[in-house]
Amino acid sequence: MANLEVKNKMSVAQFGVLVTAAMFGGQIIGLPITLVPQAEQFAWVSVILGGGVFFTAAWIMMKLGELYPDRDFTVYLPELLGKWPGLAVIGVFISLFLMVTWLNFNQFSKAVAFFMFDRTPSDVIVMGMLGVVVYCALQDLGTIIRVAEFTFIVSALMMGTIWVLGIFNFQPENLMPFWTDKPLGILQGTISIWGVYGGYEIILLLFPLIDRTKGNLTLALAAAIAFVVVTSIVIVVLTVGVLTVEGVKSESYPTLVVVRSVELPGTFIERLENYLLVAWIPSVFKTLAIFVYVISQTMTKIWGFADHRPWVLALTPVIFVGTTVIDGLELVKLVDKAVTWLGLALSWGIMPLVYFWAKRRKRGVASGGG
Amino acid sequence: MGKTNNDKQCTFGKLSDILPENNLGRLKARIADLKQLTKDSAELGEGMFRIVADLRAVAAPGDDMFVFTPKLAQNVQLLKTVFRDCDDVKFRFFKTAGRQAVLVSLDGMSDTPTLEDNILKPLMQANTSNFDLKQFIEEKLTVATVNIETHANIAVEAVMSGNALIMIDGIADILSAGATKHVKRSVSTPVTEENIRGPQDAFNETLVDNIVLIRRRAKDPNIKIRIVQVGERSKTGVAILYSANLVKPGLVEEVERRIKSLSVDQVLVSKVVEDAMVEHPWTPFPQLESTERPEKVIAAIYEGRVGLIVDNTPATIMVPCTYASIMHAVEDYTMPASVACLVRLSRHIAAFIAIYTPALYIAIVSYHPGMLPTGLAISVAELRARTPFPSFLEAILMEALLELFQEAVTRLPKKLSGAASMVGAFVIGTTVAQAGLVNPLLVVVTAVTAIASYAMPYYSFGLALRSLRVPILLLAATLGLYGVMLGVIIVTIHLCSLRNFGESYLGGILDVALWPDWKDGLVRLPQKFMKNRLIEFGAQDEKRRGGDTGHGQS
Repeated sequence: MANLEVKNKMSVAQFGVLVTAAMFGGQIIGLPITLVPQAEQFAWVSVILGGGVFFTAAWIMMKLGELYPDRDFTVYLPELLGKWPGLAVIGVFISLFLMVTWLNFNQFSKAVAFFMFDRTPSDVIVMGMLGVVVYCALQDLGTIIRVAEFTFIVSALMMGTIWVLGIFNFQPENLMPFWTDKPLGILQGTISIWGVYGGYEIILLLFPLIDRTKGNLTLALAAAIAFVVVTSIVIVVLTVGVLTVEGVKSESYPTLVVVRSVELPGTFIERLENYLLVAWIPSVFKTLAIFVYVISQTMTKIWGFADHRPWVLALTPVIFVGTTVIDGLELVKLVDKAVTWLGLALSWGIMPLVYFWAKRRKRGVASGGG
Repeated sequence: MGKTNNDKQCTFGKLSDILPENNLGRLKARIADLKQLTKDSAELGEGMFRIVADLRAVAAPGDDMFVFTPKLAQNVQLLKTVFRDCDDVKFRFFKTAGRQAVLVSLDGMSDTPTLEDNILKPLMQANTSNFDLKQFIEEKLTVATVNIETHANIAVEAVMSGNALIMIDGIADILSAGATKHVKRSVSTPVTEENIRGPQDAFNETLVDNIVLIRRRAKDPNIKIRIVQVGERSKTGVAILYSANLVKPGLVEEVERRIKSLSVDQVLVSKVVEDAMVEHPWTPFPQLESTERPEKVIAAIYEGRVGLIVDNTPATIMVPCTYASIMHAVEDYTMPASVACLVRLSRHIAAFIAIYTPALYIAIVSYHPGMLPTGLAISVAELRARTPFPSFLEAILMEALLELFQEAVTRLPKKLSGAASMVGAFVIGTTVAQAGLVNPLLVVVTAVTAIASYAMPYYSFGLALRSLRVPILLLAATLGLYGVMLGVIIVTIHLCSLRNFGESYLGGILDVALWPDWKDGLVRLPQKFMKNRLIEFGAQDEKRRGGDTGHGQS
């Protein structure tokens, strides 16, 4: 890529990392508590099935983008569906990302407050992270991509290293029985983990910015989903293998408990859950920064602004208030459920229909023109 | 009034009795002074008028001082006006070919033997009949560089650069002959970038010498050198060096544009040029790399970068610059690759330690002591119990002391700096801890941090790391490890957002689009594996060897 001009385009590989960074973040710590009660020992099967399901959804969105290669969804949806229906779909997209952002901030601040600052209000933690996220989202896309790449690689390496240490307490028999009488639970688990895969929807906005002359975009998407599948399998298998299914159900943060239980006698390292949390901070940060950028950029396009930065600043209080309003376990669960269904509706309801409608119209235009 | 008022009596007296400073004698003296001042002012005005009139005696085009005429006397008068009160400018009158002539030179800046043997001697021996200046230059004048000047500004500048100006009566053409020779430091070993196995010659303060050091290393006609002048008064030469068939398209033009847009009075150090080139003047991080090592500049040029040699300063600039390029040192290429990899990795770790170690200490000791092994936690608690200050204040105190000593040692003459270092080591290392002001563990942490910042190959980068320590300490003292991580992220965002000439300062180091650059990035592979140039700098020819054999511009 040329170097002197502003870098607002990205290569396929860069997009692959960006979409992985968007998916691999806030919800990864909470995965076992969401999935294991439903799928129990077979949580890993749900993870694999989920990978297939959400890869297909992402692939449909990519195909939709290919029909309008130079335009993003804020341009082609109103053209395709009409102004108000188009804006309604964009509204669903924005609401989804906004709610996921609230949820991620909320869960992150609660976890950090619980393990690191038991006397500090979680709002203070939200404020700190929000400031950093806003600083990043105020940058141009080129910078955000590079920050996301840097933080993703560093945090994934750190988290992976710490997580793997959980193998010291791993007991394979905890994964038994190797068959289930609750196949429905596995299927329920498959769709309930949208939050772990959520983030691939950014392709709707960023597709025209991908330089597709080199590299295979489908492969990049597959690699991104595969990365999340592998890490999620490692997490659920290790968590169940160390804590058992019942143990996971009784813990608020089973992943951190798994790491906490690791002892490395004769070394300098103790209380590994703090290290894991430290490694998790940049991971959550990059996901949130990408989300805030995507929301602000979408708003910028809808309202015809030239610069996304005023929208980042306008969103800051909305994110803070939304995060602090979601208080209490029941409300968090409710929002989590709403986000999951909204995500599923967008990925498996609206966008496939839009894709078929667009394809039909394109075919009609082609046959009419020919 | 006056004294009478004090007595509440109304009496009459002379005005000078009441206001003695207004008596007639003093007023007369002051009027005489005023008259003298008026007279002096009139003379001064007249003098100024004469100077202006002299300069305007001959109509000159817009930005020129004057134009030369065939009348020698008039030309001399004009030049003498320009060089008024410049006693080092010498006018040597002589006869050549039966005409009156003058040689104008700057004492000390021109080579006397050249003036005598190569200019004056041939001129004085010139034939009286059929004197043709151009023919004379071609056949008799034995100096390497001769220009015929028509613009007064250029002629004056030539004299100030050490060239000799020759004016002959009846000839409007003015000759400028190259005879520059001035006091300069010879090429010596590097002072700030010493190494063990690499070349031992370094840039000095003379532009021409520095260009020679580059040319001597690469007999390549594709290496081009453009010289531009900056500084309204100093007229400092800045040489732009690049490889015509490697440099990224548009880079040289952009560099030249930024240099030419520099509007300053004088350029005495290359930092002035550097400041004009950077887009983020407030960041503590150096955005352009500078070196006194010629081989580093030539290596940069062959990576597709641009070198800038500024006259009168040995610090040569290389653009663009990234974190990865700053962390490269010449020694990396003079030692086995496996060792170089380890050295480079340790350098990156040192950069991290230089910023974050005191902050990590504060965060763990103040907020997360549970992360320490029990024995160590007890030992730290015991040590801290002996000191009166909170750990944050202790750290700030140590930082302040360290900075004071560093600054003192840097400023002092060499003979004294050794003594100051000893005092510093004694005070920081022993006395502060013994006095119970700071616990010994923090002394160790601070010392490690300082040593880590010295490990940086580029001094300015080490300074930038030092400047970030206190803000990160504040974050650690406020939010513990969470604050330190926020600090890490802020620094990362800032470094990725710094983009001089399009290159992300830090972003390239883990960018998947620049993946092949890892061979000479975080690590350094053996030369046989480094067949391609770094993608980051966008060189036109990616292959390092066996590629382009052409000599023209591509």
